[in-house]
Amino acid sequence: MARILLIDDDPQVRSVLEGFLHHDGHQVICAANGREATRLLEQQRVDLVLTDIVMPEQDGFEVIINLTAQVDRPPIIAISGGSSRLSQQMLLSMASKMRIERVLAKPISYQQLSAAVSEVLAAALAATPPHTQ
Amino acid sequence: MSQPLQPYRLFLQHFAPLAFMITLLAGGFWLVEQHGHQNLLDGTGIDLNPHQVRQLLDKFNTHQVETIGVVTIIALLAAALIAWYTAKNRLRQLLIEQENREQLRQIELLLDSTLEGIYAVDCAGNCIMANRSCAQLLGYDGPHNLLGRQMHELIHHTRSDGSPYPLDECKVHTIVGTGAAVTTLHEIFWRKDGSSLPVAYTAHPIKDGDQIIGVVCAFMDLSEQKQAEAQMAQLEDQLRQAQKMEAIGQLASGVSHDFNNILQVISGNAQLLQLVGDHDPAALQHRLGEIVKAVERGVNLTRAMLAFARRQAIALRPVELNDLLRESVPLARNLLVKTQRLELQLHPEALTVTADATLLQQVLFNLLTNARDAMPEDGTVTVGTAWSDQAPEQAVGGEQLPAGPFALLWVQDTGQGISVEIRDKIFEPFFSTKGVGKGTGLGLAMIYGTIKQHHGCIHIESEPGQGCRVSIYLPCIEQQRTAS
Repeated sequence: MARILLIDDDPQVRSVLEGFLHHDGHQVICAANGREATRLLEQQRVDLVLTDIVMPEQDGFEVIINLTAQVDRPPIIAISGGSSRLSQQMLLSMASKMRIERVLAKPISYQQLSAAVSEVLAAALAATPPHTQ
Repeated sequence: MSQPLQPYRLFLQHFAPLAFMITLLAGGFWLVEQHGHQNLLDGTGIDLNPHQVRQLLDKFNTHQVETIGVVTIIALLAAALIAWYTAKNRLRQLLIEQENREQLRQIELLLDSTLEGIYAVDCAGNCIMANRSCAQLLGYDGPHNLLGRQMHELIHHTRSDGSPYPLDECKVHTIVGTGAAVTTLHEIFWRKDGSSLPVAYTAHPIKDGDQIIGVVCAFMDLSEQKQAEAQMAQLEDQLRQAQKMEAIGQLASGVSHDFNNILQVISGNAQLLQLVGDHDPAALQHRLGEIVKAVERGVNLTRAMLAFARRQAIALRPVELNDLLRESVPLARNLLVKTQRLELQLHPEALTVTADATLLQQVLFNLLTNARDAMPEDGTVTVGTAWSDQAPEQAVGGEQLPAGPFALLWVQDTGQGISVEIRDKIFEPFFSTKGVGKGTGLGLAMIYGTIKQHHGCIHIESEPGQGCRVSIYLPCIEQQRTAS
């Protein structure tokens, strides 16, 4: 299926989301923060980036900014449970204004994540010129 | 004000003496005249013929005219002299009276130009003077409505709580006996219409030499000040409410983030168990274990929130900091990783503060926990006490500190240090640089709240990569040399 980069500072949340994605047959690469994710993206291509927003060291906004600056970037899904400074709605609203493919609010069910990933990947595939697929 | 000129008085004062003098002169000259006539008569013989008698009578007449003429001239000169003298004195008196009237007018203008009400009473408490502001503030048409009135019964008869205010207890009236000035910053006067007037007043004795002849009182209307204070109190209350709501909002936001993650773990693992079933027992156990851990995270978070939000009833008593550390260090060692070292550096003198020993111990444990998490596995954390005569300038919670000296409880680690950017945020609730599961982000916020309750402050010295020293400053109530 697809190679997905999962970025979340909470190891238990990473475990759950990884389990959801594995259940759908995807290959999952995990990173605990934006800095680690950037390093991984420099080393390998991914088909989708699934990133939390509130993280230490380098948060999801910085990951999105770095990725959206690239011409040929993978699709991005942002997830969030809110923060001590901004509400969940505010964070997701800000993320959606950054022209990413989808935003999801925690807690995410398996069905929600599975559907979102399938739709985003299908849209990305449809947008790719035939000779590059 | 001068009295109008009265003619009979003028006559009595000036012209009566003149008339008496003229009469005296006339009588004197008459006597002289008669004596002269007698001399003329004696100068003649014993027998007088009719021609001689006629000559003698002519001489008498001439002499009489001469005498009257002289007396008249003398009288007129005397009258002129007296009139001149009298007019001069009168003019001077008029000028003095005019000058006095002008001075009095200026004093009246000065008194009427003040915002403060000023009145004076005699020893019986009757008003002998009041300025315009006094009348206006008390609701009277003019000062004349107050003159002669018993001022205490008029404006100072009742206290602010409604109880009667006897004259002999009135601070203004007692000045008549004590001679000592009185100042009162919060008092109630009563207006003509019965409404109360909040005032501040100062009263002084009026002395004529050594004798007290009355009291002068100057008072200021505090109505606007009271109103401003009430508005300020209302604004402060609104600000506190807003800050409380902001804190609640921040608390709710922080809680939602952590709880959403916890719910994600619980619901996600439960869903995975439903998807996978019990095909893989190891995976089953793993997922169930994850759920249990997530629940524990939730429990800890709830406890931390309650501890943060609850107003802890602190039990303050004298606590000697060196003793507290000696008791706490054995427990504290269990907080560290086994390879990390804990050292103690105590101030040579006993340092006593007023504190809740249990809360201080919690502060110490929180600081040690942070030090442990910031250090590598072979790091060293040092705990100690010290003394300072003043608090540092850049201390957290250093506003409105009492004057020194201060006793210090400090914790220093050899960890990664804190950057300047983060240093300003670390006391915010839910702010954390640690990974998930390594604290709630409330530890330093709780320390801040505890130290504020103890009227202390927190000073942080740190640079990235150079460890961190956190010093708790507490007001020192006693410092004494310990027995060697």
